[in-house]
Amino acid sequence: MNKRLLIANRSEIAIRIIRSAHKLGLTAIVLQSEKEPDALYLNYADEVILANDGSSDKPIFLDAEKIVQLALENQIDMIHPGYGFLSENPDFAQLCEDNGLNFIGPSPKLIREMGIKTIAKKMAIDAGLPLVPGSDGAVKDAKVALEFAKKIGYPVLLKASAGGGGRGMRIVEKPETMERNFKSAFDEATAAFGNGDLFIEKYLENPKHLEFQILGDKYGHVIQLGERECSLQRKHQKLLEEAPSASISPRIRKKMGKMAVKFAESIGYFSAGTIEYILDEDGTFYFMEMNTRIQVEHPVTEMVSGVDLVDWQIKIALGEKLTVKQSEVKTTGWAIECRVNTEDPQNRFSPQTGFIEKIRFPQNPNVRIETGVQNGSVVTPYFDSMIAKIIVHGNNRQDAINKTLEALQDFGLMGMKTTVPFCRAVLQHPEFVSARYTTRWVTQYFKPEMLENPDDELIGALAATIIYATEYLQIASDLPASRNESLNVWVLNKRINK
Amino acid sequence: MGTSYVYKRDASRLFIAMRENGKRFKIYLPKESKPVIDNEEKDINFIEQSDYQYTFNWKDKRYNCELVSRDQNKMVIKVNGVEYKFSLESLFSYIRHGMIDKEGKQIDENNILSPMPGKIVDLFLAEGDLVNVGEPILSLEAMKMQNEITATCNGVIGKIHVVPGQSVMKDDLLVEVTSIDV
Amino acid sequence: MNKNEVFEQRKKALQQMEDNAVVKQHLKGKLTARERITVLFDEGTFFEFDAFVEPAQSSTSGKQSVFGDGVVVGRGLVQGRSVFAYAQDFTVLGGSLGFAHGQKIAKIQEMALKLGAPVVGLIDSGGARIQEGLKSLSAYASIFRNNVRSSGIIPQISVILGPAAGGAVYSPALTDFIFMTNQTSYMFVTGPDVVKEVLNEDIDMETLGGGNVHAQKSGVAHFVYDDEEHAIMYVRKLLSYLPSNNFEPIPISTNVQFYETRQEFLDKIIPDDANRPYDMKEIINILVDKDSFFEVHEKYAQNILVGFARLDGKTIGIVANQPKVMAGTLDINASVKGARFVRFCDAYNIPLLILEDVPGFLPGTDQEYNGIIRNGAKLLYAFCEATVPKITVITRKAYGGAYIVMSSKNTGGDFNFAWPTAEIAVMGPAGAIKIVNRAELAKAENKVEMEKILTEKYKNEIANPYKAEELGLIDEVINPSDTRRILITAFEVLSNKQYSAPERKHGSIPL
Repeated sequence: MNKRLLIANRSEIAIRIIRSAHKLGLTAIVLQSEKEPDALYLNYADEVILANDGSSDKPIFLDAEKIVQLALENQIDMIHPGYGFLSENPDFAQLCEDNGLNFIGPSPKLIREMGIKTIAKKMAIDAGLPLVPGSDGAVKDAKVALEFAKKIGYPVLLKASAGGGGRGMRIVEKPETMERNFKSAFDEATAAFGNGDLFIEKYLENPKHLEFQILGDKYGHVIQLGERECSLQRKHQKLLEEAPSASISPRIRKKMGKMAVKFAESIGYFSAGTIEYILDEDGTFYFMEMNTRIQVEHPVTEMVSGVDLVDWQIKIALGEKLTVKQSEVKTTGWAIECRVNTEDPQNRFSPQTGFIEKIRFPQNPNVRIETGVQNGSVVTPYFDSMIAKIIVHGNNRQDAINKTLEALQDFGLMGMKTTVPFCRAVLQHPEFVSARYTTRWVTQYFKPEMLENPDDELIGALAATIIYATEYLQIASDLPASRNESLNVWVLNKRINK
Repeated sequence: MGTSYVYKRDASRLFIAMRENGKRFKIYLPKESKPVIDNEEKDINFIEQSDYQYTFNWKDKRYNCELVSRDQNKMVIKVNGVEYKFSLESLFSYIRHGMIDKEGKQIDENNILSPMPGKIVDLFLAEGDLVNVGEPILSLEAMKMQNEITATCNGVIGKIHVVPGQSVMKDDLLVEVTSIDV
Repeated sequence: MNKNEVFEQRKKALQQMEDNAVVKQHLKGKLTARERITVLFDEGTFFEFDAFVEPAQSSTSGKQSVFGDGVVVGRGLVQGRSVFAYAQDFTVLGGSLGFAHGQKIAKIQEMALKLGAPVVGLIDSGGARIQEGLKSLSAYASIFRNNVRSSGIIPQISVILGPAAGGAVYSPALTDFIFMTNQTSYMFVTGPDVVKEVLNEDIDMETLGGGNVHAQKSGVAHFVYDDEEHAIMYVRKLLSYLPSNNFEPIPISTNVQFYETRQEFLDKIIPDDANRPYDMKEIINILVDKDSFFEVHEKYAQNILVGFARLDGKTIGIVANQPKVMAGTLDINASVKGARFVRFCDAYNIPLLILEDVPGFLPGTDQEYNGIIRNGAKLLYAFCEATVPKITVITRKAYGGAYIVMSSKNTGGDFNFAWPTAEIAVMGPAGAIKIVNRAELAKAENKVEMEKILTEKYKNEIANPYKAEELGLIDEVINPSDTRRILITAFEVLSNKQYSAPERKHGSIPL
């Protein structure tokens, strides 16, 4: 084949895609941002294109036109957008298509439709998927929202129709706060997405977040590879994922999976995609949205299904037929992914920047590490804080939990704080162990004290004492800590002359 | 005629490490044997030290400790990714310390005043938030530079007197902070 | 009574006094004068003088002997080096300074000056002894005069461990370094009672003149610690950096360790965005010998950092702008803090390392009214006057007058290095392009875009360190990760530096 694949992304996902590209005999090319000139992923690529984005406010990965221009200059055949950045930007996909570049993902039209939540929901209804009760389209103003809320009952959720990642989202508990929340959500959505349209829906108080991995080829063959549970979130950012989910019965699982496939088929979906469901306490589930890209947490599905999703993304984009049949898809064991973000869980997850002085990952055949950093890497404020993912496979859920805890014990990073201690606390918490946890776990149960451990504390006290005592005993010591050089002639001379 | 006074200063190798939550560790570091912590000899082995990192082995587990910051006898140590704050005392200073009356601490000293004329860029915390000493509370632009103004104590954010975009003069009251330090 | 009996009796009396003192002082969380002495000196090396001097009869009730008149004086060793010390005893007549008491202090001051050894004062005194009247004031005066005569010849350190009020504050004020403790030591010219009486202002001792107040607000105290033991221990540490007198070469540590692997971090430590702050202390800690940076005035005027450190075992003085605080601008307090430190180092032949990242002097009425001109001049004066080896490393900004002040080449800097990230110019890009490119900016359709281009151009063509290198104002643009190695060599090159100012009685620094 020897096609030239450009990866319009960075960090661990760039390295992940390079791996697949090499397996399939493609030349992997990456972009070097001036905001991160020494990044690890650059070492793995066959070619590196230098992007002059140093003086620009946005890094190269967000500059669609520049990427396409660089791609054309460098005879690129295909572009893999990874996740985040432009991965779900229909204009970018369109621009690639218009310039004869093979964009790895579904058609621009589908990306656009799935990106606008009101349209996506309409299509889901058509395919027979259940939806959380809410407005069909954008609500005009706070007054309309108030009327609607009365109908479906409080609390309600205001959501930006163009949004994602929690921006432009507000929970309204009572009618009195509607107007204020409506305005702030509107402003936030306008600022973030250039589109302030909001819609309103019933707010589930203790929901779980489940998603089904879809894979489809360009010839109408769609399969699903089972679900992932991503309920562990903080401010709508996922922190720990598992596959499969212990929250649904085999019957429900089958039903949800079938619906997901049916939906993807009905819209003519191809490439990798994710159907997100929200699961209420009583077990009813609703369609939430569809993601038209590879997801951060895709490795857990790969670990339990044995299907390489990125390989298939590329092969499907090349026009190959999906040869995996639904009946062949079997999941074995359990997988857990811990995201290693440089955030301080003891301090409201404030982001950390600086040097990674030393990083150590667990070494174990059960453990898969995806990382974009090494010793000496710099974490800058320009990009997100995820530096690695630790994915562990076990025979069953408890086994996976135990092995993950073991793996996390072997993780070490000097120079910054990470979410690893947080993941450790989660894995030991009864709500997680019993699989009762919901997306509210962090607000309901998490306290920074949970991160502490008496053994660690004792060792810490000992280390502090040793550091202190070393200096204390040195100052207290009667032994001279310094020597005076014998008087040199020069000084002596000065003395005489004075 | 001279008079000599003998006082055994470094005869004591006993130290006290105190957490910010009041928990105490009595640690004795004998010259040649294992550390004794709270009167119990612990089988902790000191493996290596590199730059700011100290590695120990205890109960067949490795412990990596990192000195995060230090202010005189107050240290922040990171063990397995979690930070612990300790205040260190020799036995001698510890006993004296207990005698000093801790009353009469000034609360208003912890309020945040503008250190220079400038413009508020961003507020990181809201009223009622907990704040740790050294944690940035707001960002102030002056001299074309953004300066992070940090808390001087562990405490609770009281009234915030400014909004982003507002220009302030030197010594203007920006944020009230109530200390929760003992 | 025969001689032996006198000896025994005196010994007993002394022991009695000490036992009383222990009870009184320990209850307050304080140590006795003799305990303080033992913390300060190497074990068993203290040699006391004048232990049996007695005060004038007028000041005691006359019944009991008051040996020593409330002060312990003598000489001992600190890590093997000779140091003189006096410790006032608050349990004897409130530590008040009577004539005999004053004479004892003056006596060791004079001895120390003759012998070229530092003097440490452990102060815990109620002030002048009123009963002795003018005699006690005259004793103060001789102490002050000795302080001034010794200044610049032997290091003088004051440790305030109790009250120091009224005239008593001026002896510490004349010395080189003041240590204080939190909550047990106070310094003020007039106490809370007088403040209340005159100004009707309610204030307690801690708020008026406690350790933290002087360490943070007034800058009177150079060091403040939570307890006496730490305070006195760190006096020992400070002494380990200093020569015993102005003729003695600087002490050299035999134990040299440094952060070898961290040197390369210096290449990445300066943020890309010129307006983002970073911590200069991190740079210092990487450059100097491991854990050797001992900061002076840590909590006062934090926009400038001063302190002692060791480079390859040899003591150096560091003056550095701190971009983390107030962007590292120079204001009145920072200038005075820097100037004083530079002059101290110059007096004791301690070479200076200047780390520079300074956007300018702090503007504003507050600064101008309080004399930033006059006070900024002190720093300039101090750098120009200093004849010790001076090496400057410009890490980032060096603009305008502040650039000149921070030991620029033509003020007598011996070596001036710059990192590639340095921006050296008359002013920062934002201000400069508004003047230089006024016409272009006015014409430009997209002002923001134009400003960006011009800023970039200004940085590349005018403010860059290679320009200064061509002019010889920067000796070399160096790799940050090579800095430590280069500094060691450069100080080695300068170790025999001799430069004499023209003969004069002394300069007239703009005080």
